[in-house]
Amino acid sequence: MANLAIANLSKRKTRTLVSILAIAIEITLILVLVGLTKGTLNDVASRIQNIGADIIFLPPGASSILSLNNYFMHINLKDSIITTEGVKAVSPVMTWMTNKLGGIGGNIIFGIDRKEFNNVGGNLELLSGKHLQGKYDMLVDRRLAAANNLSLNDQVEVLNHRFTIVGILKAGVGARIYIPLTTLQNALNEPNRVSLFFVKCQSPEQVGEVASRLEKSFPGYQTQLSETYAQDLTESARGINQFISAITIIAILVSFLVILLAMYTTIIERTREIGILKALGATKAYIVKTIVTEAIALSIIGILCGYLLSFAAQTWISNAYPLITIIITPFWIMLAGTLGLVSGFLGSLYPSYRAATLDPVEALNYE
Amino acid sequence: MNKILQTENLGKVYRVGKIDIHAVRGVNLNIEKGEFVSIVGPSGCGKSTLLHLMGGMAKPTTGRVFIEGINLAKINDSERAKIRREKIGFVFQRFNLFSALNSQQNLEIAMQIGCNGSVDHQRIKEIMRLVGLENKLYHKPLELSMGEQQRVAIARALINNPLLILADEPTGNLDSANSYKVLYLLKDLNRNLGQTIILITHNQEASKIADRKIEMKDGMIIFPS
Repeated sequence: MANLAIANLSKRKTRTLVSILAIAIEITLILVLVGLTKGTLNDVASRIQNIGADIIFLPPGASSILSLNNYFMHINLKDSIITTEGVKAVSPVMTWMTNKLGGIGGNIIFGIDRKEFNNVGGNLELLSGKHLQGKYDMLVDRRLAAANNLSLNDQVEVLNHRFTIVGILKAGVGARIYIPLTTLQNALNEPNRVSLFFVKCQSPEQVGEVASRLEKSFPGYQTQLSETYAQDLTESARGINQFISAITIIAILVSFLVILLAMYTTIIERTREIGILKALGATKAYIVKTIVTEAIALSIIGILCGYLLSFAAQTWISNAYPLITIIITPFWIMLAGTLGLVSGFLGSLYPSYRAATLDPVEALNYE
Repeated sequence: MNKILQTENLGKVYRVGKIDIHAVRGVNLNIEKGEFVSIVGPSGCGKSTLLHLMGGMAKPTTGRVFIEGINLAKINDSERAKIRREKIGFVFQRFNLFSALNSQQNLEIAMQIGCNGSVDHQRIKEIMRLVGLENKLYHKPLELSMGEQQRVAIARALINNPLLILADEPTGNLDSANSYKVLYLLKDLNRNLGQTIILITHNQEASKIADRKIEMKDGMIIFPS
Protein backbone atom coordinates (compact mmCIF):
# COMPACT_ATOMS: atom_id res chain seq x y z
CA MET A 1 0.00 0.00 0.00
CA ALA A 2 2.83 2.38 0.91
CA ASN A 3 4.50 1.47 -2.40
CA LEU A 4 1.41 2.49 -4.32
CA ALA A 5 1.02 5.75 -2.39
CA ILE A 6 4.67 6.73 -2.81
CA ALA A 7 4.78 5.64 -6.45
CA ASN A 8 1.78 7.86 -7.14
CA LEU A 9 3.55 10.83 -5.55
CA SER A 10 6.48 10.47 -7.92
CA LYS A 11 4.28 9.70 -10.91
CA ARG A 12 2.23 12.89 -10.64
CA LYS A 13 5.03 15.34 -10.08
CA THR A 14 3.22 18.62 -10.75
CA ARG A 15 0.32 17.76 -8.49
CA THR A 16 2.73 16.56 -5.82
CA LEU A 17 4.85 19.72 -6.02
CA VAL A 18 1.84 22.05 -5.90
CA SER A 19 0.40 20.22 -2.90
CA ILE A 20 3.73 20.20 -1.09
CA LEU A 21 4.15 23.90 -1.82
CA ALA A 22 0.68 24.69 -0.47
CA ILE A 23 1.34 22.84 2.77
CA ALA A 24 4.80 24.40 3.05
CA ILE A 25 3.23 27.85 2.65
CA GLU A 26 0.66 26.98 5.33
CA ILE A 27 3.44 26.07 7.76
CA THR A 28 5.52 29.11 6.83
CA LEU A 29 2.55 31.43 7.15
CA ILE A 30 1.82 30.16 10.65
CA LEU A 31 5.42 30.07 11.88
CA VAL A 32 6.54 33.39 10.41
CA LEU A 33 3.47 35.44 11.30
CA VAL A 34 3.17 33.99 14.77
CA GLY A 35 6.94 34.27 15.20
CA LEU A 36 6.83 37.87 14.05
CA THR A 37 4.01 38.79 16.43
CA LYS A 38 5.39 36.92 19.40
CA GLY A 39 8.91 38.04 18.58
CA THR A 40 7.96 41.70 18.54
CA LEU A 41 6.05 41.46 21.80
CA ASN A 42 8.79 39.44 23.48
CA ASP A 43 11.44 41.82 22.27
CA VAL A 44 9.58 44.84 23.67
CA ALA A 45 8.84 43.06 26.94
CA SER A 46 12.35 41.73 27.46
CA ARG A 47 13.86 45.14 26.77
CA ILE A 48 11.61 46.69 29.42
CA GLN A 49 12.41 43.88 31.87
CA ASN A 50 16.15 44.25 31.17
CA ILE A 51 16.06 47.81 32.52
CA GLY A 52 16.03 46.22 35.94
CA ALA A 53 13.21 48.26 37.49
CA ASP A 54 10.61 46.33 39.49
CA ILE A 55 7.52 48.40 38.78
CA ILE A 56 6.32 50.71 36.00
CA PHE A 57 4.13 53.45 37.39
CA LEU A 58 1.67 54.78 34.82
CA PRO A 59 -0.85 57.62 34.70
CA PRO A 60 -4.60 56.91 34.69
CA GLY A 61 -5.83 55.50 31.38
CA ALA A 62 -2.36 54.61 30.14
CA SER A 63 -1.70 51.39 28.22
CA SER A 64 0.87 48.72 28.98
CA ILE A 65 2.04 49.27 25.43
CA LEU A 66 4.25 52.19 26.19
CA SER A 67 4.48 53.36 22.61
CA LEU A 68 0.70 53.96 22.57
CA ASN A 69 0.71 56.30 25.53
CA ASN A 70 -0.27 59.93 25.18
CA TYR A 71 -0.99 60.37 28.87
CA PHE A 72 1.35 62.36 31.03
CA MET A 73 1.68 63.07 34.76
CA HIS A 74 3.56 65.69 36.77
CA ILE A 75 7.18 64.95 37.56
CA ASN A 76 6.59 66.05 41.17
CA LEU A 77 4.83 62.75 41.81
CA LYS A 78 8.32 61.29 42.00
CA ASP A 79 8.81 62.90 45.41
CA SER A 80 5.73 61.17 46.76
CA ILE A 81 6.56 57.82 45.16
CA ILE A 82 10.09 57.78 46.58
CA THR A 83 8.73 58.20 50.11
CA THR A 84 6.45 55.16 49.74
CA GLU A 85 7.55 52.35 52.03
CA GLY A 86 9.74 49.81 50.22
CA VAL A 87 10.70 52.07 47.31
CA LYS A 88 14.42 52.41 46.75
CA ALA A 89 14.65 54.55 43.60
CA VAL A 90 12.44 56.23 41.02
CA SER A 91 13.28 57.24 37.46
CA PRO A 92 10.96 59.55 35.51
CA VAL A 93 10.77 58.79 31.80
CA MET A 94 9.12 60.61 28.91
CA THR A 95 8.26 58.39 25.94
CA TRP A 96 7.60 59.36 22.34
CA MET A 97 7.25 57.52 19.07
CA THR A 98 9.24 58.49 16.03
CA ASN A 99 9.14 56.96 12.59
CA LYS A 100 12.24 58.82 11.47
CA LEU A 101 14.60 55.95 12.16
CA GLY A 102 12.78 53.09 10.58
CA GLY A 103 11.33 50.03 12.21
CA ILE A 104 7.80 48.80 11.67
CA GLY A 105 5.46 51.32 13.27
CA GLY A 106 8.39 53.52 14.30
CA ASN A 107 10.63 53.48 17.32
CA ILE A 108 10.07 54.58 20.86
CA ILE A 109 12.32 57.30 22.31
CA PHE A 110 13.01 57.41 26.03
CA GLY A 111 13.71 60.79 27.50
CA ILE A 112 15.68 60.02 30.66
CA ASP A 113 17.67 61.51 33.45
CA ARG A 114 20.72 59.26 33.18
CA LYS A 115 21.58 59.30 36.87
CA GLU A 116 18.06 58.44 37.98
CA PHE A 117 17.72 55.85 35.21
CA ASN A 118 20.91 54.21 36.50
CA ASN A 119 19.48 54.23 40.03
CA VAL A 120 16.57 51.97 39.07
CA GLY A 121 18.98 49.55 37.40
CA GLY A 122 18.97 50.92 33.88
CA ASN A 123 22.64 50.49 33.18
CA LEU A 124 23.00 51.50 29.58
CA GLU A 125 26.10 49.72 28.30
CA LEU A 126 28.02 51.75 25.75
CA LEU A 127 29.68 49.91 22.89
CA SER A 128 31.25 53.14 21.65
CA GLY A 129 31.09 56.87 22.35
CA LYS A 130 29.90 58.51 25.55
CA HIS A 131 26.74 58.95 27.62
CA LEU A 132 24.20 61.75 27.29
CA GLN A 133 25.69 65.08 28.32
CA GLY A 134 24.57 67.79 25.94
CA LYS A 135 21.00 68.97 25.33
CA TYR A 136 20.78 67.42 21.87
CA ASP A 137 22.82 64.30 22.48
CA MET A 138 21.30 61.02 21.44
CA LEU A 139 22.10 57.38 22.18
CA VAL A 140 20.98 54.64 19.82
CA ASP A 141 21.34 50.89 20.22
CA ARG A 142 23.48 48.70 17.98
CA ARG A 143 20.56 47.15 16.04
CA LEU A 144 19.02 50.52 15.22
CA ALA A 145 22.43 51.92 14.22
CA ALA A 146 23.07 48.90 12.00
CA ALA A 147 19.61 49.08 10.42
CA ASN A 148 20.04 52.77 9.56
CA ASN A 149 23.80 52.84 8.92
CA LEU A 150 24.21 55.28 11.79
CA SER A 151 27.52 55.89 13.44
CA LEU A 152 28.96 58.16 16.08
CA ASN A 153 28.59 61.91 15.48
CA ASP A 154 25.92 61.43 12.82
CA GLN A 155 23.17 64.04 12.92
CA VAL A 156 19.56 62.96 13.16
CA GLU A 157 16.54 65.26 12.99
CA VAL A 158 13.80 64.39 15.43
CA LEU A 159 11.00 66.63 16.74
CA ASN A 160 12.35 69.52 14.67
CA HIS A 161 15.74 69.41 16.35
CA ARG A 162 19.05 68.07 15.15
CA PHE A 163 20.49 65.51 17.52
CA THR A 164 24.01 64.16 17.51
CA ILE A 165 24.59 60.48 18.08
CA VAL A 166 27.11 60.46 20.89
CA GLY A 167 26.96 56.80 21.82
CA ILE A 168 26.07 53.39 20.47
CA LEU A 169 24.48 51.17 23.11
CA LYS A 170 24.36 47.44 23.53
CA ALA A 171 20.91 46.38 22.32
CA GLY A 172 18.27 44.89 24.56
CA VAL A 173 17.69 47.43 27.35
CA GLY A 174 14.67 49.74 27.31
CA ALA A 175 14.19 51.83 24.17
CA ARG A 176 16.41 51.90 21.10
CA ILE A 177 16.76 55.70 21.30
CA TYR A 178 17.60 57.80 24.36
CA ILE A 179 17.70 61.59 24.67
CA PRO A 180 17.75 63.80 27.76
CA LEU A 181 14.45 64.01 29.63
CA THR A 182 14.23 67.80 29.64
CA THR A 183 14.95 68.00 25.92
CA LEU A 184 12.06 65.69 25.12
CA GLN A 185 9.74 67.50 27.57
CA ASN A 186 10.54 70.84 25.97
CA ALA A 187 10.28 69.52 22.44
CA LEU A 188 6.78 68.27 23.24
CA ASN A 189 5.86 71.46 25.09
CA GLU A 190 5.20 69.40 28.17
CA PRO A 191 7.70 70.73 30.71
CA ASN A 192 7.65 68.93 34.06
CA ARG A 193 5.50 66.16 32.63
CA VAL A 194 6.49 62.52 32.29
CA SER A 195 4.96 59.39 30.75
CA LEU A 196 5.96 56.91 33.44
CA PHE A 197 8.14 56.22 36.41
CA PHE A 198 10.36 53.18 36.69
CA VAL A 199 10.40 52.13 40.34
CA LYS A 200 13.07 50.03 42.05
CA CYS A 201 12.10 48.34 45.30
CA GLN A 202 14.32 47.79 48.28
CA SER A 203 13.98 44.04 47.94
CA PRO A 204 12.45 41.75 45.28
CA GLU A 205 10.13 40.19 47.87
CA GLN A 206 8.42 43.53 48.45
CA VAL A 207 7.49 44.25 44.85
CA GLY A 208 3.86 43.11 45.12
CA GLU A 209 3.28 44.96 48.35
CA VAL A 210 4.91 48.14 47.05
CA ALA A 211 2.73 48.05 43.92
CA SER A 212 -0.39 47.72 46.11
CA ARG A 213 0.74 50.58 48.30
CA LEU A 214 1.34 52.79 45.27
CA GLU A 215 -2.07 52.01 43.81
CA LYS A 216 -3.64 52.77 47.17
CA SER A 217 -1.73 56.01 47.64
CA PHE A 218 -2.35 57.21 44.08
CA PRO A 219 -5.93 56.27 43.21
CA GLY A 220 -6.50 55.87 39.47
CA TYR A 221 -2.80 55.48 38.69
CA GLN A 222 -1.58 52.11 37.53
CA THR A 223 1.31 49.90 38.42
CA GLN A 224 2.76 47.26 36.12
CA LEU A 225 5.13 44.65 37.48
CA SER A 226 8.19 44.12 35.30
CA GLU A 227 8.14 40.40 36.05
CA THR A 228 4.72 39.93 34.45
CA TYR A 229 5.15 42.58 31.75
CA ALA A 230 5.47 40.10 28.86
CA GLN A 231 2.23 38.34 29.78
CA ASP A 232 0.35 41.57 30.53
CA LEU A 233 1.58 43.09 27.28
CA THR A 234 0.24 40.14 25.29
CA GLU A 235 -3.09 40.36 27.10
CA SER A 236 -3.41 44.12 26.67
CA ALA A 237 -2.42 43.95 23.00
CA ARG A 238 -5.99 43.09 22.17
CA GLY A 239 -6.49 41.47 18.82
CA ILE A 240 -3.06 39.83 18.74
CA ASN A 241 -4.35 36.44 19.78
CA GLN A 242 -7.36 36.80 17.51
CA PHE A 243 -5.00 37.76 14.69
CA ILE A 244 -2.86 34.68 15.31
CA SER A 245 -5.98 32.49 15.44
CA ALA A 246 -7.32 34.00 12.21
CA ILE A 247 -4.04 33.46 10.38
CA THR A 248 -3.80 29.90 11.68
CA ILE A 249 -7.37 29.08 10.67
CA ILE A 250 -6.92 30.58 7.19
CA ALA A 251 -3.66 28.65 6.73
CA ILE A 252 -5.32 25.39 7.82
CA LEU A 253 -8.29 26.02 5.51
CA VAL A 254 -6.03 26.71 2.53
CA SER A 255 -4.04 23.56 3.18
CA PHE A 256 -7.21 21.52 3.76
CA LEU A 257 -8.73 22.73 0.48
CA VAL A 258 -5.54 22.14 -1.49
CA ILE A 259 -5.23 18.58 -0.20
CA LEU A 260 -8.94 18.01 -0.76
CA LEU A 261 -8.67 19.24 -4.34
CA ALA A 262 -5.40 17.39 -5.01
CA MET A 263 -6.73 14.11 -3.66
CA TYR A 264 -10.11 14.57 -5.30
CA THR A 265 -8.50 15.08 -8.70
CA THR A 266 -6.29 12.12 -7.99
CA ILE A 267 -9.32 9.97 -7.35
CA ILE A 268 -10.91 11.08 -10.61
CA GLU A 269 -7.65 10.42 -12.47
CA ARG A 270 -7.20 7.06 -10.81
CA THR A 271 -10.75 5.80 -10.93
CA ARG A 272 -9.60 2.86 -13.03
CA GLU A 273 -6.84 1.98 -10.55
CA ILE A 274 -9.41 2.00 -7.77
CA GLY A 275 -11.49 -0.35 -9.92
CA ILE A 276 -8.47 -2.67 -10.14
CA LEU A 277 -8.08 -2.60 -6.36
CA LYS A 278 -11.75 -3.47 -6.03
CA ALA A 279 -11.42 -6.32 -8.54
CA LEU A 280 -8.51 -7.62 -6.46
CA GLY A 281 -10.86 -7.68 -3.49
CA ALA A 282 -9.56 -4.65 -1.61
CA THR A 283 -11.73 -3.62 1.30
CA LYS A 284 -13.07 -0.09 1.66
CA ALA A 285 -10.68 0.39 4.56
CA TYR A 286 -7.73 -0.62 2.37
CA ILE A 287 -8.69 1.92 -0.29
CA VAL A 288 -9.24 4.66 2.30
CA LYS A 289 -5.84 3.85 3.85
CA THR A 290 -4.13 4.02 0.45
CA ILE A 291 -5.51 7.50 -0.27
CA VAL A 292 -4.94 8.77 3.28
CA THR A 293 -1.38 7.39 3.29
CA GLU A 294 -0.67 9.34 0.12
CA ALA A 295 -2.11 12.53 1.62
CA ILE A 296 -0.18 12.08 4.86
CA ALA A 297 3.05 11.47 2.90
CA LEU A 298 2.35 14.69 0.97
CA SER A 299 1.69 16.52 4.22
CA ILE A 300 4.88 15.29 5.91
CA ILE A 301 7.04 16.39 2.98
CA GLY A 302 5.14 19.70 2.85
CA ILE A 303 5.62 20.24 6.59
CA LEU A 304 9.37 19.58 6.38
CA CYS A 305 9.64 21.97 3.41
CA GLY A 306 7.58 24.48 5.42
CA TYR A 307 10.05 24.29 8.29
CA LEU A 308 12.96 24.93 5.92
CA LEU A 309 11.08 27.79 4.27
CA SER A 310 10.24 29.30 7.68
CA PHE A 311 13.85 29.24 8.87
CA ALA A 312 14.96 30.68 5.53
CA ALA A 313 12.35 33.44 5.86
CA GLN A 314 13.46 34.10 9.44
CA THR A 315 17.08 34.46 8.35
CA TRP A 316 16.19 36.65 5.39
CA ILE A 317 13.90 38.96 7.41
CA SER A 318 16.46 39.26 10.21
CA ASN A 319 19.12 40.30 7.69
CA ALA A 320 16.90 42.60 5.64
CA TYR A 321 15.13 44.16 8.63
CA PRO A 322 17.46 44.02 11.63
CA LEU A 323 14.91 45.60 13.97
CA ILE A 324 12.42 42.81 13.48
CA THR A 325 12.57 39.83 15.79
CA ILE A 326 11.02 36.52 14.74
CA ILE A 327 10.83 33.81 17.34
CA ILE A 328 10.11 30.30 16.05
CA THR A 329 9.54 28.23 19.16
CA PRO A 330 9.48 24.41 19.45
CA PHE A 331 5.87 24.68 20.62
CA TRP A 332 4.76 26.44 17.43
CA ILE A 333 6.91 24.13 15.29
CA MET A 334 5.08 21.17 16.78
CA LEU A 335 1.69 22.87 16.59
CA ALA A 336 2.11 23.98 12.96
CA GLY A 337 3.29 20.47 12.02
CA THR A 338 0.33 18.89 13.78
CA LEU A 339 -2.10 21.29 12.11
CA GLY A 340 -0.50 20.52 8.72
CA LEU A 341 -0.98 16.80 9.31
CA VAL A 342 -4.55 17.25 10.54
CA SER A 343 -5.51 19.39 7.54
CA GLY A 344 -3.89 16.86 5.17
CA PHE A 345 -5.74 14.02 6.87
CA LEU A 346 -9.10 15.83 6.83
CA GLY A 347 -8.58 16.90 3.24
CA SER A 348 -8.11 13.29 2.18
CA LEU A 349 -11.14 11.89 4.01
CA TYR A 350 -13.86 12.78 1.51
CA PRO A 351 -11.87 11.75 -1.59
CA SER A 352 -10.91 8.48 0.06
CA TYR A 353 -14.52 7.82 1.06
CA ARG A 354 -15.59 8.53 -2.53
CA ALA A 355 -12.94 6.16 -3.85
CA ALA A 356 -13.97 3.45 -1.42
CA THR A 357 -17.61 3.63 -2.45
CA LEU A 358 -17.05 3.64 -6.22
CA ASP A 359 -18.85 0.93 -8.17
CA PRO A 360 -16.17 -1.62 -9.18
CA VAL A 361 -17.47 -2.16 -12.73
CA GLU A 362 -17.95 1.57 -13.43
CA ALA A 363 -14.51 2.27 -12.02
CA LEU A 364 -12.89 -0.41 -14.18
CA ASN A 365 -14.61 0.89 -17.31
CA TYR A 366 -13.71 4.52 -16.57
CA GLU A 367 -11.92 6.15 -19.51
CA MET B 1 -15.72 -33.12 -9.83
CA ASN B 2 -16.90 -30.34 -7.53
CA LYS B 3 -19.25 -27.65 -8.60
CA ILE B 4 -17.55 -24.35 -7.79
CA LEU B 5 -19.69 -21.85 -9.68
CA GLN B 6 -23.35 -21.98 -10.49
CA THR B 7 -25.75 -19.42 -11.90
CA GLU B 8 -29.52 -19.70 -11.80
CA ASN B 9 -31.69 -17.70 -14.15
CA LEU B 10 -29.12 -14.90 -13.98
CA GLY B 11 -30.12 -11.55 -15.43
CA LYS B 12 -28.84 -8.02 -15.49
CA VAL B 13 -30.76 -4.99 -16.70
CA TYR B 14 -29.14 -1.59 -17.18
CA ARG B 15 -31.26 1.50 -17.48
CA VAL B 16 -29.97 4.03 -19.99
CA GLY B 17 -32.24 7.05 -19.91
CA LYS B 18 -35.72 5.58 -20.17
CA ILE B 19 -34.62 2.43 -21.92
CA ASP B 20 -33.94 -0.86 -20.17
CA ILE B 21 -31.07 -2.82 -21.64
CA HIS B 22 -31.11 -6.53 -20.88
CA ALA B 23 -27.38 -7.26 -20.85
CA VAL B 24 -27.76 -10.79 -19.45
CA ARG B 25 -30.94 -12.86 -19.62
CA GLY B 26 -31.76 -16.08 -17.81
CA VAL B 27 -28.27 -17.56 -17.77
CA ASN B 28 -27.88 -20.96 -16.12
CA LEU B 29 -24.35 -22.23 -15.79
CA ASN B 30 -22.44 -24.84 -13.85
CA ILE B 31 -18.66 -24.74 -13.65
CA GLU B 32 -16.80 -27.68 -12.15
CA LYS B 33 -13.46 -27.55 -10.44
CA GLY B 34 -10.58 -27.91 -12.91
CA GLU B 35 -12.66 -26.97 -15.95
CA PHE B 36 -11.45 -24.66 -18.71
CA VAL B 37 -14.57 -23.06 -20.15
CA SER B 38 -14.77 -20.42 -22.83
CA ILE B 39 -17.73 -18.10 -23.23
CA VAL B 40 -17.77 -16.78 -26.75
CA GLY B 41 -19.98 -14.33 -28.56
CA PRO B 42 -19.97 -11.07 -30.49
CA SER B 43 -19.22 -7.71 -28.89
CA GLY B 44 -22.08 -6.41 -26.78
CA CYS B 45 -23.66 -9.83 -26.25
CA GLY B 46 -23.28 -9.58 -22.47
CA LYS B 47 -20.16 -11.71 -21.94
CA SER B 48 -18.33 -9.15 -19.80
CA THR B 49 -21.44 -8.37 -17.78
CA LEU B 50 -21.83 -12.08 -17.13
CA LEU B 51 -18.20 -12.23 -16.00
CA HIS B 52 -18.73 -9.27 -13.64
CA LEU B 53 -21.79 -11.00 -12.18
CA MET B 54 -19.92 -14.29 -11.74
CA GLY B 55 -16.99 -12.46 -10.11
CA GLY B 56 -19.17 -10.56 -7.64
CA MET B 57 -18.27 -7.23 -9.20
CA ALA B 58 -21.88 -6.42 -10.10
CA LYS B 59 -25.19 -7.35 -8.53
CA PRO B 60 -27.68 -9.29 -10.65
CA THR B 61 -31.11 -7.86 -11.37
CA THR B 62 -32.59 -11.35 -11.33
CA GLY B 63 -31.35 -14.82 -10.46
CA ARG B 64 -28.46 -15.98 -8.33
CA VAL B 65 -24.73 -16.70 -8.48
CA PHE B 66 -23.24 -19.31 -6.18
CA ILE B 67 -19.51 -19.66 -5.57
CA GLU B 68 -18.79 -22.81 -3.59
CA GLY B 69 -22.39 -22.67 -2.47
CA ILE B 70 -22.31 -19.04 -1.31
CA ASN B 71 -25.08 -16.95 -2.84
CA LEU B 72 -23.40 -13.69 -3.87
CA ALA B 73 -26.75 -11.88 -3.88
CA LYS B 74 -27.21 -12.61 -0.18
CA ILE B 75 -23.93 -11.16 1.02
CA ASN B 76 -22.83 -7.54 1.41
CA ASP B 77 -20.15 -5.59 -0.47
CA SER B 78 -17.33 -6.40 1.91
CA GLU B 79 -18.18 -10.12 1.88
CA ARG B 80 -18.20 -10.04 -1.93
CA ALA B 81 -14.79 -8.31 -1.81
CA LYS B 82 -13.60 -11.16 0.43
CA ILE B 83 -14.81 -13.71 -2.14
CA ARG B 84 -12.94 -11.84 -4.87
CA ARG B 85 -9.68 -11.67 -2.98
CA GLU B 86 -9.78 -15.25 -1.73
CA LYS B 87 -11.42 -17.19 -4.53
CA ILE B 88 -11.18 -15.26 -7.79
CA GLY B 89 -8.39 -13.98 -9.99
CA PHE B 90 -9.28 -11.54 -12.75
CA VAL B 91 -7.44 -11.09 -16.03
CA PHE B 92 -8.55 -8.13 -18.13
CA GLN B 93 -8.23 -7.20 -21.77
CA ARG B 94 -6.32 -4.02 -20.89
CA PHE B 95 -4.10 -5.83 -18.36
CA ASN B 96 -4.98 -3.25 -15.65
CA LEU B 97 -1.58 -3.23 -14.01
CA PHE B 98 -0.55 -0.31 -11.81
CA SER B 99 1.63 1.65 -14.17
CA ALA B 100 3.66 3.31 -11.39
CA LEU B 101 4.67 -0.05 -9.91
CA ASN B 102 7.01 -2.74 -11.21
CA SER B 103 5.92 -6.36 -11.73
CA GLN B 104 6.93 -7.44 -8.25
CA GLN B 105 5.11 -4.52 -6.64
CA ASN B 106 1.99 -5.23 -8.71
CA LEU B 107 1.99 -8.76 -7.36
CA GLU B 108 2.74 -7.52 -3.84
CA ILE B 109 -0.38 -5.34 -3.85
CA ALA B 110 -2.55 -8.31 -4.85
CA MET B 111 -0.85 -10.46 -2.21
CA GLN B 112 -1.26 -7.83 0.51
CA ILE B 113 -4.95 -7.55 -0.30
CA GLY B 114 -5.43 -11.32 -0.47
CA CYS B 115 -3.26 -12.34 2.48
CA ASN B 116 -4.06 -9.73 5.12
CA GLY B 117 -1.03 -7.60 4.39
CA SER B 118 1.63 -10.30 4.29
CA VAL B 119 3.92 -10.64 1.28
CA ASP B 120 5.86 -13.78 0.27
CA HIS B 121 8.59 -12.77 -2.18
CA GLN B 122 9.49 -16.39 -2.84
CA ARG B 123 5.94 -17.04 -4.00
CA ILE B 124 6.09 -13.96 -6.25
CA LYS B 125 9.29 -15.27 -7.85
CA GLU B 126 7.76 -18.73 -8.34
CA ILE B 127 4.67 -17.32 -10.02
CA MET B 128 6.74 -15.01 -12.22
CA ARG B 129 8.83 -18.05 -13.19
CA LEU B 130 5.62 -19.93 -13.97
CA VAL B 131 4.58 -17.25 -16.47
CA GLY B 132 8.11 -17.07 -17.86
CA LEU B 133 8.96 -13.63 -16.57
CA GLU B 134 11.30 -14.31 -13.65
CA ASN B 135 13.78 -11.84 -15.16
CA LYS B 136 11.19 -9.02 -15.36
CA LEU B 137 10.45 -8.62 -11.66
CA TYR B 138 11.63 -5.02 -11.52
CA HIS B 139 10.22 -3.85 -14.85
CA LYS B 140 7.33 -1.42 -14.87
CA PRO B 141 4.42 -2.14 -17.25
CA LEU B 142 5.61 0.38 -19.82
CA GLU B 143 8.98 -1.39 -19.93
CA LEU B 144 7.26 -4.65 -20.92
CA SER B 145 5.71 -5.79 -24.19
CA MET B 146 1.92 -6.13 -24.27
CA GLY B 147 2.21 -9.90 -24.12
CA GLU B 148 4.50 -9.65 -21.12
CA GLN B 149 2.13 -7.25 -19.41
CA GLN B 150 -0.69 -9.72 -19.85
CA ARG B 151 1.47 -12.49 -18.42
CA VAL B 152 2.20 -10.30 -15.36
CA ALA B 153 -1.56 -9.77 -15.05
CA ILE B 154 -2.04 -13.56 -15.15
CA ALA B 155 0.67 -13.93 -12.50
CA ARG B 156 -1.18 -11.40 -10.38
CA ALA B 157 -4.44 -13.34 -10.83
CA LEU B 158 -2.66 -16.52 -9.69
CA ILE B 159 -0.75 -15.07 -6.77
CA ASN B 160 -3.34 -15.84 -4.11
CA ASN B 161 -3.99 -19.34 -5.43
CA PRO B 162 -7.58 -18.62 -6.48
CA LEU B 163 -10.35 -21.11 -6.93
CA LEU B 164 -11.27 -19.60 -10.28
CA ILE B 165 -9.68 -17.36 -12.90
CA LEU B 166 -12.01 -15.11 -14.84
CA ALA B 167 -10.27 -13.90 -17.98
CA ASP B 168 -12.08 -11.14 -19.86
CA GLU B 169 -10.82 -10.96 -23.47
CA PRO B 170 -7.22 -11.57 -22.35
CA THR B 171 -5.97 -11.60 -25.96
CA GLY B 172 -8.07 -8.65 -27.13
CA ASN B 173 -5.11 -6.25 -27.12
CA LEU B 174 -2.47 -8.70 -28.32
CA ASP B 175 -1.03 -9.66 -31.67
CA SER B 176 -1.48 -13.23 -32.79
CA ALA B 177 1.91 -14.45 -31.54
CA ASN B 178 1.34 -13.04 -28.05
CA SER B 179 -2.29 -14.19 -28.09
CA TYR B 180 -1.06 -17.70 -28.74
CA LYS B 181 1.42 -17.51 -25.85
CA VAL B 182 -1.19 -16.19 -23.42
CA LEU B 183 -3.80 -18.77 -24.42
CA TYR B 184 -1.32 -21.63 -24.07
CA LEU B 185 -0.18 -20.25 -20.75
CA LEU B 186 -3.79 -20.43 -19.54
CA LYS B 187 -4.07 -23.91 -21.00
CA ASP B 188 -0.93 -25.01 -19.17
CA LEU B 189 -2.18 -23.59 -15.90
CA ASN B 190 -5.39 -25.53 -16.33
CA ARG B 191 -3.72 -28.74 -17.40
CA ASN B 192 -0.74 -28.74 -15.02
CA LEU B 193 -2.16 -27.04 -11.95
CA GLY B 194 -5.80 -27.96 -12.37
CA GLN B 195 -6.66 -24.25 -12.33
CA THR B 196 -10.32 -23.58 -13.12
CA ILE B 197 -10.57 -20.93 -15.83
CA ILE B 198 -13.43 -19.13 -17.53
CA LEU B 199 -12.26 -17.42 -20.71
CA ILE B 200 -14.43 -14.69 -22.18
CA THR B 201 -13.69 -13.99 -25.83
CA HIS B 202 -15.27 -12.82 -29.04
CA ASN B 203 -12.73 -14.85 -31.01
CA GLN B 204 -14.00 -18.25 -32.08
CA GLU B 205 -10.43 -19.48 -32.67
CA ALA B 206 -9.33 -18.47 -29.20
CA SER B 207 -12.34 -20.16 -27.64
CA LYS B 208 -11.18 -23.51 -29.00
CA ILE B 209 -8.37 -23.61 -26.45
CA ALA B 210 -10.96 -24.40 -23.76
CA ASP B 211 -12.35 -27.83 -23.02
CA ARG B 212 -15.91 -26.60 -23.09
CA LYS B 213 -17.40 -23.81 -25.15
CA ILE B 214 -20.47 -21.75 -24.31
CA GLU B 215 -21.87 -19.38 -26.91
CA MET B 216 -23.80 -16.22 -26.06
CA LYS B 217 -25.96 -13.89 -28.09
CA ASP B 218 -28.16 -11.01 -26.98
CA GLY B 219 -27.48 -11.74 -23.32
CA MET B 220 -28.51 -15.39 -23.56
CA ILE B 221 -26.70 -18.68 -23.87
CA ILE B 222 -27.41 -20.10 -27.31
CA PHE B 223 -25.01 -23.02 -27.17
CA PRO B 224 -25.39 -25.49 -25.63
CA SER B 225 -29.05 -24.67 -25.91
